[in-house]
Amino acid sequence: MTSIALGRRSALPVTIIGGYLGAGKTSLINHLLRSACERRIAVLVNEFGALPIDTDLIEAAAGHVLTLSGGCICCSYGDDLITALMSFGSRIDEFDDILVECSGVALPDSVAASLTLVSGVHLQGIVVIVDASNIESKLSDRYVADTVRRQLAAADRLLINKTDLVSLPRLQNIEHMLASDFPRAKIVLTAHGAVDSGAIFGPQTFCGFVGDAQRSPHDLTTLSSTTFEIHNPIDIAALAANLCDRKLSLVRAKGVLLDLDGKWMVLQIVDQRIQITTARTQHRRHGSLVCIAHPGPMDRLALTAAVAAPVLPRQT
Amino acid sequence: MARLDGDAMTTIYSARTILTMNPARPVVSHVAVRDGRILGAGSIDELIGWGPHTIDDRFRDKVLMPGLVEGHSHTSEGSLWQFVYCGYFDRTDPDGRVWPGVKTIDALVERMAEANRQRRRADSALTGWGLDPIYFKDRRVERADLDRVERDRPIGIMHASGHIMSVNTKALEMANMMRSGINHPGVPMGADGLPTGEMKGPEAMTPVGVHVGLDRALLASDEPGLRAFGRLCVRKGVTTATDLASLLPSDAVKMMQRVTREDDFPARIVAMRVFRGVSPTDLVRHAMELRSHTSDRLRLGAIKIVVDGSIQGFSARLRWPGYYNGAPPGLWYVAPEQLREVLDLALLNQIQVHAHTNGDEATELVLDTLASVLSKAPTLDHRLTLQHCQLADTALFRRMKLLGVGVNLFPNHHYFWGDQHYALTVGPERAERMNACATALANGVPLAIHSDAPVTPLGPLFMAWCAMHRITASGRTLGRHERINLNDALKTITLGAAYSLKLDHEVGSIECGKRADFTVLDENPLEVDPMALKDIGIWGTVQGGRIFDVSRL
Repeated sequence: MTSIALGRRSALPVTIIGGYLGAGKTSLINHLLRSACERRIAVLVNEFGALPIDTDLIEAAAGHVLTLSGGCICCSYGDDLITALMSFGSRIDEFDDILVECSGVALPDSVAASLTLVSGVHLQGIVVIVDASNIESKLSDRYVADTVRRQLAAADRLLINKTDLVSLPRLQNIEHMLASDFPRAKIVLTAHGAVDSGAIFGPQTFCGFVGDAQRSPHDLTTLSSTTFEIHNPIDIAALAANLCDRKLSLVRAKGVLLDLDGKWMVLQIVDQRIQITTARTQHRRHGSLVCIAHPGPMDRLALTAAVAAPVLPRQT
Repeated sequence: MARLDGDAMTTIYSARTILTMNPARPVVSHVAVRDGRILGAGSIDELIGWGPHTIDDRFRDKVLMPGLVEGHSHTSEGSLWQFVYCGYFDRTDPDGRVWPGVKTIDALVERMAEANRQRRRADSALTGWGLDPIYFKDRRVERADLDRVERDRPIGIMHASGHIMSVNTKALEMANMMRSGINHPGVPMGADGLPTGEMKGPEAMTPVGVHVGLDRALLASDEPGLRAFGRLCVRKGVTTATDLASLLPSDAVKMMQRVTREDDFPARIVAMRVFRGVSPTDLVRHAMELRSHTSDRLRLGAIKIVVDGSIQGFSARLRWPGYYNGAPPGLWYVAPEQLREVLDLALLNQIQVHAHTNGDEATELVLDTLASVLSKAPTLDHRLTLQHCQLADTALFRRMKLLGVGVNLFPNHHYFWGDQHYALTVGPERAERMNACATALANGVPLAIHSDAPVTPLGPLFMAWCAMHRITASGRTLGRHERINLNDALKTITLGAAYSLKLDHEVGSIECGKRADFTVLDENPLEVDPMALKDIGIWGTVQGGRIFDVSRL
């Protein structure tokens, strides 16, 4: 008797992205794909909906599978997530993470339970996104209130999205309400789904919210991060030197960037230590850089100047 | 009779009785057919006025009715018969063999063992369907039972509900599920810390299903399965049937077009595009494209949208006070916003929508949404039809009437699961008002009834019997006041279902201009004992003027 589990090294981590229809799941996924750095992400979406994967990320499309830049892919699973997941159990060397986007009325804990049926994958976490502009009305809607509540209760991380659409006092009320009703979940504020990928892929790299987000005034402890998209060639050594300027008070920075020779390189800076290595995947179209700063006000202008200066204008 | 060259052939059929469902002349003796359509129904003296004709007396001892219409079935009923039937009730296969019901677990094991001896192919699974352990005094069918059939060959049996599967140890091993650590409500674990072999719900069934011949592509009916479904239609007197939920990819559509076009394919299939895996915009666009490929025997262009789950699965959306056993109030399968978008776009583009709503809250949501869509874009004859709609109360039926909504109710449920609904799911009071056929008619809501085959067997006469008597398997009459009379019952399985499919101008009654679709019966439903309605022999059908004799299928 043989077992198909033979030869399996470990399991692929799966992060479930839940949240009611329109909360911003697809925006979050687009952002994560953009700022994936070296992670090879397999995204499983319920459908290629009206707000699809950004077309500039797509390298090829074939039926239910989109091949994306940087070794990522996106598959639509319709209503058959299990079959889609089973196809990944044996592709453990091809991907670092699986993201499962739930449908707008799905219960993320049911999706999580179904992961235990599939060998080769394990649950990394459940992220549930909240639309700050309508969560109060959803929680009092006669038809969907209980569904939304069950979604929120399943979360270990709650992303309050679209914070730019509500006033600060209202945002504070929402945050307070969610924190007291769902104390198990860590709350992250964001806008346009622009959250640091560490907040999604694992607590060990958690580093707070992206600069675009409106920030709670009472929160002075969280690290802040800013993500840049850099598609043009850049002088990576010069960039690294700029980022080590102590006035920027960066804790660390990480990026995948096109160097002046046309090669994709990975830049990592931790506590002023610079490491530049050749990227695993050369076949990509997008560069990105994530900068993480100490708590406190970030000098975004200075940071932007430090990043922009070494960028070579692309010849077209 | 002489026939002039170039003239279409006219055939006048005589019959013992012809029930037309046309109130102007409800009972006649003859029907004249030309070009697959009805020239007229009346006396021979009236019909010979149409000119040269042939008289055909083959039905002189038979009773003709309009061809029966099944408004909610799945052609997968034809596919399932390639597997071993394991249901509790006797059931007829497409080739006419009656499979006796399996009444005990020992009988189940014996039936599977017999099939195991006959289907000796080492590389293949042994597959069964139709199992209903509710009747085994709640004794579940587990892997130890099926291991008695065969230990080294994967075995799987789909339950009657379509939502549960029982498998043997080998099947679990092949799916890498003979292990501890599975934490899923659909996979009960035994005292030994391993799965018992019952897999509940699509997620639990899928990983094992592929190893026991029950993968989900099954529901996208295969070619022999579609032909088998056609033969079943003839045996049950059905000339128009539905394939109510399919993704209808182009390969499947091409296959269905090819098969339904065959000279001996005996039924008209209405296939609907289910809302799944695409955006509302792409759904409606696909339905419009499908509509352009419609043909006489393959009708395309309508949409099915599944709003909630099932009552026996406790996933139907129920209003307060919810389930009788206190289970949570069910699941939405679409967001209200998506439903709204689908209705908006569908009504704008004259695409008919059939909405599956089992629970009363799901029904109310559809009515609320439709009312809002209609107030902005009034649409006459949208003919939205609520499928199942099992729990609607009288107030909801009154709203349906005002909004132009029809229902296709499911009285078969009373027979097969009425006792469980009474005791467990919705409790006595609501079990009695489930599938409120009489309330629908009293409030002027267009009514059809259905089998949801393969969930319950194809067979409109049995459905009509269920709607008339509302008798459960244990003999209880569940909801005496919701019984309907024979004439209404016969209307629901002909004109009623035709109306729900927007085909009432073509089929559903025997009158001038309509398709020559007849069901040929051995007895007159108006004359037999009302309890014997379901047992009337069916000689065959006439479909589009083509004659299909059950004994020659």
